[in-house]
Amino acid sequence: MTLTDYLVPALLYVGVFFYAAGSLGLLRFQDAELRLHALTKADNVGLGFVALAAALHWGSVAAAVKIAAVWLFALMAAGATAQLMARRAKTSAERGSDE
Amino acid sequence: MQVHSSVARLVTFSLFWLALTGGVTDALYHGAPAVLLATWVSLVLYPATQPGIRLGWAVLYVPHLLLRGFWGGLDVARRVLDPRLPVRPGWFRIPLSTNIVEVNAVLGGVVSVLPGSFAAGVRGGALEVHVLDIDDFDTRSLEAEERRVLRLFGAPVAAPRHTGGHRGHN
Repeated sequence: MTLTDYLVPALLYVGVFFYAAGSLGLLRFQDAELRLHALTKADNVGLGFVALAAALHWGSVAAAVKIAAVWLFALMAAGATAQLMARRAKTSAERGSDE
Repeated sequence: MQVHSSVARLVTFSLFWLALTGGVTDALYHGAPAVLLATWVSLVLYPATQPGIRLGWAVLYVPHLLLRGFWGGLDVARRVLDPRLPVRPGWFRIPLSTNIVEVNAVLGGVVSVLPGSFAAGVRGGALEVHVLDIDDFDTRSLEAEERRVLRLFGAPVAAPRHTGGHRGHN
């Protein structure tokens, strides 16, 4: 067993912990804005740890760069769509509708 | 400046292609037209005359954001796992010091990564920010972040205001 053999599952567990926290937030929080906090922040960190584990597992620079690119694009897409959803949620709330 | 921006995009897309294909020689024949097409689409969608990000600052700024993002995730996880669910949500309106659309769009994304805050776009010259805990939120931290984003774009940075944001409610 090398250090990587211990690190990869450890990083995966940490990643899953953050994903689970995000999903629990989706269930426990009562409004759209709070749910967006949970899903974007916790899940992005979860994805980061899973990506790190995957990069270590495959152990090549090429794979690591690919995985880093996936993570970067996921972060950018999440940031942009979450802002749009928050705007939509706020506008709906101000109109007094529950669309 | 426009040539500089176009070349930078060409180089970036080439690097992405090399990363995706692992630098396999056969793939380069398809890569050349793909990279040219991507650069052309990029220039049509976002002309080189638009404000651009300074790469040197981005290299410094991304690790800061990743670290803050990690704390943001940890903060949400802590609250969610607490049986009392300690949140006091509310809205703030943070006055913006610039009307450069690109700067404010990036700032919105950055605010959404930081612990406890979340942006819902710009309205009336102010960034609308949703916070997890309205009593435990310092709007001055967002002003500091705005100055960092302005530097990222090479835009003039205004002096700190210390006025605080207009506080909203649930």
